[in-house]
Amino acid sequence: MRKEKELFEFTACKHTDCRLAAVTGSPYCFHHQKNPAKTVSAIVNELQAKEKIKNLSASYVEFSNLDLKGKILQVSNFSHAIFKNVDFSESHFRIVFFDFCLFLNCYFKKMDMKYSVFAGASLTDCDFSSSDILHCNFNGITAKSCSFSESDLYFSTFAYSEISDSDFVDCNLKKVRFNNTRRSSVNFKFSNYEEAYFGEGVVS
Amino acid sequence: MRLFFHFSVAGFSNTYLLGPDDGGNAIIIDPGTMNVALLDLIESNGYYVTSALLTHAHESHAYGLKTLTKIYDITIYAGTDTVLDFECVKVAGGETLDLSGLKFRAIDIKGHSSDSLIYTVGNCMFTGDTFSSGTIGSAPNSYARELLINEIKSKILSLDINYLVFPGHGSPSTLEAEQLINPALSDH
Repeated sequence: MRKEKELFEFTACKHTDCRLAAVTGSPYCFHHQKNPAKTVSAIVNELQAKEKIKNLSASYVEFSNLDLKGKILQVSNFSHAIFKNVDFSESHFRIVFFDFCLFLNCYFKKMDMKYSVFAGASLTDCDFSSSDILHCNFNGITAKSCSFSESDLYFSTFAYSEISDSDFVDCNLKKVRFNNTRRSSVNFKFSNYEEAYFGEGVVS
Repeated sequence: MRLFFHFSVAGFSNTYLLGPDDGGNAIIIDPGTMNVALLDLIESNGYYVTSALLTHAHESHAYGLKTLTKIYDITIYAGTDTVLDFECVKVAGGETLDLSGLKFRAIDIKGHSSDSLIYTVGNCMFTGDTFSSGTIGSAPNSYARELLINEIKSKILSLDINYLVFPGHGSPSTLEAEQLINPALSDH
């Protein structure tokens, strides 16, 4: 029987009753790795060695203190992963999934990012400034002390998010959705916020 | 296989192109428009479009067929017999289509339109206008809206949360994110 071709090389973990995504290079998810440190090391080596990374599955993996500047990342899945002190600046993301990730002190400056998902992620002290962030999904994020300044955010969405002490200065906000957000000390100076959709929300 | 995203400013809709890594027969989903950028995407990757899948028959998801069918010999699959005067292979909910080695499963979702289909392939889900990141599709009245929500909850949210969601408008998402964040679909 012909094997069904996969768009994303998604494989469920082989551990009994586990439906989490298996990590690239292993039949098991990150939680069921016998040697998680070795798994992290293998994925980090791949990320550092290659300029172009495609179809990487690294859900729930923890990354820290990495310089990943200038990478081309395509159709990859990092859902629920943890990133601490990781620098993705000047990288190119297409269809990359970071939903429900935790980001602490990470850099995404001068990015070319399209069709990527950060929904439900927690972002603290992260810098997305001077980037093209088009058609990206930031719904339900919790963002503290983050900067999206001088970025083109066309058609991206931040609905149902909690955003505090963050900047969207001099951004293109055309067709950006901020409906039902809870915002505190968020600066939209010099941005075309009239062209964004705010709808219901709470500003404190 | 490779997946490409094309944004149409006319109708602000998403078109998806699926094809093998090294060129060959490709599948297009919801060609809302056909322009030079989409033609470049198809040709520069060595593709020949053999199939078009429509999530529903609205023009913003199908108008590109007018040009595409002049360039490629395309079989059109939809939840209805004809779209813009083009004959279609009518697809019913529950049917599986084997196209270019990919198995697409169709799920019928009423509410936005009577012919709406969601297509799943692998762990990807093409939702058309039934739901998008943080929203559900428009409906002509409150009955249709409730029908749409119930259809999505019973037929889609019961599926594996690992599905990646590619809507007809707006940014991609995941089924898990929609379950937890999309207020129309979450239970809280």
